[in-house]
Amino acid sequence: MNVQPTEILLIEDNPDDVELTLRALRGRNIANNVKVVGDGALALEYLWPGGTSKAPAGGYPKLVLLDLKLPRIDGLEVLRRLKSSEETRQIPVVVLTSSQEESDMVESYRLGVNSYVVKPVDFAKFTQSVSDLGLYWLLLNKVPG
Amino acid sequence: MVQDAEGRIVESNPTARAILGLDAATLTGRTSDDPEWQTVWSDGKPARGEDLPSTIARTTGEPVRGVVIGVRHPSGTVRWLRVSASPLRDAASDEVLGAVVSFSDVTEARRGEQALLDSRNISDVRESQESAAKYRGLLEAAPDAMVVVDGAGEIVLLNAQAERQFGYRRDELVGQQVKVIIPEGFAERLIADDLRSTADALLQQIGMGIELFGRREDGTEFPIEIMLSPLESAEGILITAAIRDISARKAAEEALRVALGNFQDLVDADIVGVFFARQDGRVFYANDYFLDLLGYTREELEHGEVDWRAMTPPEWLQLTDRALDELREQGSSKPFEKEYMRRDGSRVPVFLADTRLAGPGANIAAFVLDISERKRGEDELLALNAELEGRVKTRTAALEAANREMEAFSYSVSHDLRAPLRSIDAFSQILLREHAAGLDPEARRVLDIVVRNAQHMGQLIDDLLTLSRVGRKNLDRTPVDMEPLARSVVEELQAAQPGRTVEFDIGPLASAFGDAGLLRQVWVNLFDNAVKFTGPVQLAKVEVRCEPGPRECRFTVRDNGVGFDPRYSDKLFQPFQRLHQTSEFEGTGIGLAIVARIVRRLGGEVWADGAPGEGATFGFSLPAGQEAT
Repeated sequence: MNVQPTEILLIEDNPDDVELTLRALRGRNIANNVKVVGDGALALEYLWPGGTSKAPAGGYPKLVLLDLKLPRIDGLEVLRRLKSSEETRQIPVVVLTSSQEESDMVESYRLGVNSYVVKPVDFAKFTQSVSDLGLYWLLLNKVPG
Repeated sequence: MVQDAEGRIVESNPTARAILGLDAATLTGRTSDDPEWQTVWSDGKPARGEDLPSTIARTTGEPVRGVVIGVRHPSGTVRWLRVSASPLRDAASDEVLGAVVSFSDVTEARRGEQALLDSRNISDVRESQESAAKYRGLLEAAPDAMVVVDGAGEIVLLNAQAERQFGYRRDELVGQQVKVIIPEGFAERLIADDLRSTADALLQQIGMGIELFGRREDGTEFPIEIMLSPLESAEGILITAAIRDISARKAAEEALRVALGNFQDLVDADIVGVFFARQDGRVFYANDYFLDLLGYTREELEHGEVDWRAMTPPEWLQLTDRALDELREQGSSKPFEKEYMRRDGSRVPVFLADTRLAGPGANIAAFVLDISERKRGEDELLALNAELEGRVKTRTAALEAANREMEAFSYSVSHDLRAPLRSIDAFSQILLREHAAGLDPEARRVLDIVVRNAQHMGQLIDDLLTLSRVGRKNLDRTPVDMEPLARSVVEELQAAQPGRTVEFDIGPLASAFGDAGLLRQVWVNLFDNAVKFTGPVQLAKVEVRCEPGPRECRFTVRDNGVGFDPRYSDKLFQPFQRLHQTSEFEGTGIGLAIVARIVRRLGGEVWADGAPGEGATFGFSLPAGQEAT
């Protein structure tokens, strides 16, 4: 078994945003193993294969980047499941969204999100934001245990 | 007895014959005038035929009542008779045909009176000094004014109370006619004249309270009540009159009469229903207003068919009984509203006040006002209010729905438009950066334009969302220290644009009342604006000032930038209104609209002054903070 452990789980339905996010992360050599899923249901299936509490094939990610507006099961529900399950509670989750809605932000923090980032339209700023938060949560942040 | 036109006795009954001691044969044919009768008045003087009651009745056609006459009985004694006589008329011609004379024997009664007077030993008050003194003592002891008058109407005696009451000294009145102090009604009734003796007149009046007027020495009159009693003396009957001043009683009676009159007027005016009733429900008096209101007739009232308890619908009985309890405890109840059932079963709302009547039975007097009109008005008002509330609810729901749609719209603008824009911007830049070699200069220039526009559109969307959020955000209202807030904004701004040198001069700023987060946004937008429009100026200066007031503070931001045409100053605060071309100054035209919306929501105003090339001043007012300096 030579499966590289997953470093980042990116839950994002917009392929353009997926590409831009991956570019930003790779550009600074932050993460090489990024698992991408396109909707909330696939995210839950990845994290809890077959609905069990068995660990995913690639192991639990070190960071979850989560879009809010997702097909099938939305980002807030995925966040709620992540933060209410024993196995995943300690994984840092960053909401990465286009939504500037205050209600989304308030609800995200209430559910225990670690950071809430509004994706800038400007590509330079976007690249900067994504690489900064990858750097912070993967390399600098210390997780207990 | 019946006499004919000449006074001859034609009929007599057994009682008459027994009293007179004569048989029918002897009586028939005699006249009242017959010397055998030896008729005398009660004072002993001979009574002549023409003065006798029967003669008067026959000759004048007027009845005569209760005259006392002494008649000689065949036994030799005097019989005292009380005689009345009425004329007998022909039914057709009304001509007097004779007289009916009736009489009773009062000899025994007269003897009793005489004995009483004798026993008091005051029978001859004029001649016996001793008895006069005694009698005077009795008079003085009497609580009332006492005046003794003889048969000719002369005053014989009076007491001190009489002196005081009439304002005369005793010696001024004794020997005077009683008319001096009682001008009318006394002498006429009681003093002997041609028609009757004092005794006869007196017999009719004894023991009765007669109301007359007395006259004082100064001529003023006052109401009196006199009580008469006879006093036999050697010169005939004297009259003792007890005279009571009844001014106070008369005044009270008059006041009561006026009051009762007023009350009756009020009741009869039928502007309010009035009824008197027993506590068990039976109404025994009611005015027309009340009867008409409830649909009963006066006959039904008189037959006892009106019953307030029966008219009270069951659900109002409890309230009514509570009012009755209050009535029993306090004598009256607070006015209250209830309903009555009319005779036809319909309901009428009334306003009711009742009070307990004095006297046995503790009956009730109640005032009843028909308030149907008012109730109808109230009901209409309630219906109207309900309708209005309903409309407000509908409108509010519609507004809330519109608001939700608006929020959903801004969300989708936020999310759905920004994502494609980001792709346009990002992939254009990737093209420019990573594939520059394959592009000719014109392609790069065009791509630059694409990037610039995508970024501008991103800014527009962000500003629009800010504007809509400012309109919906819940406001904090706390005192905000404006000076440190403004200074921190300036620091951030200068850090973000290290290339620009703008001199900020921030004067002392008072605190204002508002939302700190939104007020920060106000400074950000105004300072951004100032920095932007001083771009072409060599020594850019921005002055921030404050004019504190007791109620509001006025803040101004003045720059020495390019200024604007004051004709368009009202357009500055409207979204998307720009006074400069995009090529001159970047911007979305929303910054000042956001400022205006925030300031207005916080209860202030915005304004702008300027001229082309002479800088611009933007001002806003806010409610003063509590810690205003």
